[in-house]
Amino acid sequence: MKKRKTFRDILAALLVIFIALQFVRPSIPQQPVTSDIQAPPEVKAILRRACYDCHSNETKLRWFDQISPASWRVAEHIKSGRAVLNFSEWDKIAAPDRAGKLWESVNQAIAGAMPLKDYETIHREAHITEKDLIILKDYLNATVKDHPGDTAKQNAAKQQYQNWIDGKMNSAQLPKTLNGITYMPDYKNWQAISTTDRFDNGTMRVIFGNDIAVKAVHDGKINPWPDGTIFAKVAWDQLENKDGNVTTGAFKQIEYMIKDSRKYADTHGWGFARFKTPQLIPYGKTATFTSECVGCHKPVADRDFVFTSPLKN
Amino acid sequence: MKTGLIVSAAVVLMASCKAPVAPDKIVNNQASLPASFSVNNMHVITSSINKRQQTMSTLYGNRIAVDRARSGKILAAGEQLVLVVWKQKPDENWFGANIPDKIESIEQVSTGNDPSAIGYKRYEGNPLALVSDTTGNKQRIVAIIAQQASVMP
Ligand code: HEC
Ligand code: HEC
Repeated sequence: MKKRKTFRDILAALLVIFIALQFVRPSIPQQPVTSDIQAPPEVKAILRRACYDCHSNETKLRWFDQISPASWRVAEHIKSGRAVLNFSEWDKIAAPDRAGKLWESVNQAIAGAMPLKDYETIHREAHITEKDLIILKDYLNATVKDHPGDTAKQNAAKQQYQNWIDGKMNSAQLPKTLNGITYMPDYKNWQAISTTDRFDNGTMRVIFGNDIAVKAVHDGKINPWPDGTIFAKVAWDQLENKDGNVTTGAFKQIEYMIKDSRKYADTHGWGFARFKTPQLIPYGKTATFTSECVGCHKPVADRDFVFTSPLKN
Repeated sequence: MKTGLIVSAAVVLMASCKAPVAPDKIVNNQASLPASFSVNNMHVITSSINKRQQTMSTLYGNRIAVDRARSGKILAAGEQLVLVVWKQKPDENWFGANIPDKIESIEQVSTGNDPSAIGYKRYEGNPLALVSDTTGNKQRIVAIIAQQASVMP
């Protein structure tokens, strides 16, 4: 009899707490739509249905999203979702980066990383179907344009090449990123483990691996990659001639990934660094720029966050 | 309802911890060079793409060739150049990229003590076999030695 009473008391107390919790709801800031993304209606409809709750200022919460404590998680998703990508404030993204964000978005959807799974299980309508993916891919494919004989790009490439062979690019001091990674000029004498034709942004890349990386490929020990592995990925403009032949144009940037499972534990064991233009300007306004790298590499978490399928050469 | 919830929970768990992909599924075996054509003592001079043929290629060189190309000079003595051409395929991990697929051809250009004595060999097919027909060799040599090094600061 006594036991039963205590149980009832606990239940009652929990109920009171639950009700009280409902009065301390997280606030989801109401922000105006300043520049909604421009896209064909069928594309927009998919984004609205599947992404807008977390990536726009037009969040439409259902009653079950508003019950605490679940509402706290929802609010957190919205806050960080809007911070990385906001379709309602599209103009705030620099014009050349907008297309990149869209390709990234579609890739996150293809990989099943977005919409977030715990959200999708409750909001079934947000599910991205095969048909949705076809619409999204067709839309992006149609934006890819070849530009044979682009004289501006040719001139930029010519000038860079001349400076480079004249030895005018050697800076006295090696630049360093805010997370403490120094530029490694010797990447050019490492082995190439693959190349990519990035028609999404008109660049082409060579991915180099240091000796440890190359040995790991030969030994078949690449998931996870061993500590000491370093990748360097170099990107150039694509220079296309009238016959569809594409050569490397201006050097755009170099990116590194350094494996050290302890030192870089916070970023899944990889130290990320990017240096832009031949001036090798370290990328990132703060040391947390790496969350961008991790975010886009996350869909390949089951390959130790590495996209490249290396060649055995 | 209850089973729905259990299934949902299972889906969330599965999605959040996908099993690691096996290493031999990650290596691009199809595009890898046979051991007898290894370029593991060579370095990259440049890479290129042919949009019409949907191929991509990489030009490798020995130390002499790489140093020569990276300083914008003309063919020297003792050079070895290897041009590998692959068919392209879409990158399964990134919509928006193509990566190497099967090898289409491997061409080898070399110079002896006299840089004007140029050797040339072309291999095609699977397994790669020496092509005996020499028509067009001259143009191929010219095209390969004319490739400019990619800017690598
Ligand atoms: C339930 C909220 C939610 C929904 C719905 C959602 N996202 Fe996200 N998204 C997030 C959060 C939170 C992040 C940031 C951190 C992370 O990756 O978990 C994010 C990150 C991203 C990123 C950047 C990756 C990164 O971390 O840098 C892209 C791109 C993205 N989402 C695209 C989409 C697309 C496309 C859709 C719709 C198909 C979508 N998201 C739906 C919450 C959501
Ligand atoms: C928008 C998505 C995206 C972002 C953001 C991103 N990467 Fe990547 N990264 C890729 C893709 C896709 C590849 C595969 C190679 C290719 O096609 O360019 C790649 C490959 C790499 C590689 C070669 C090893 C591998 O994983 O294949 C390095 C090194 C690298 N990225 C570094 C970085 C660094 C450093 C940052 C952050 C400053 C970064 N990446 C941000 C998409 C991204």
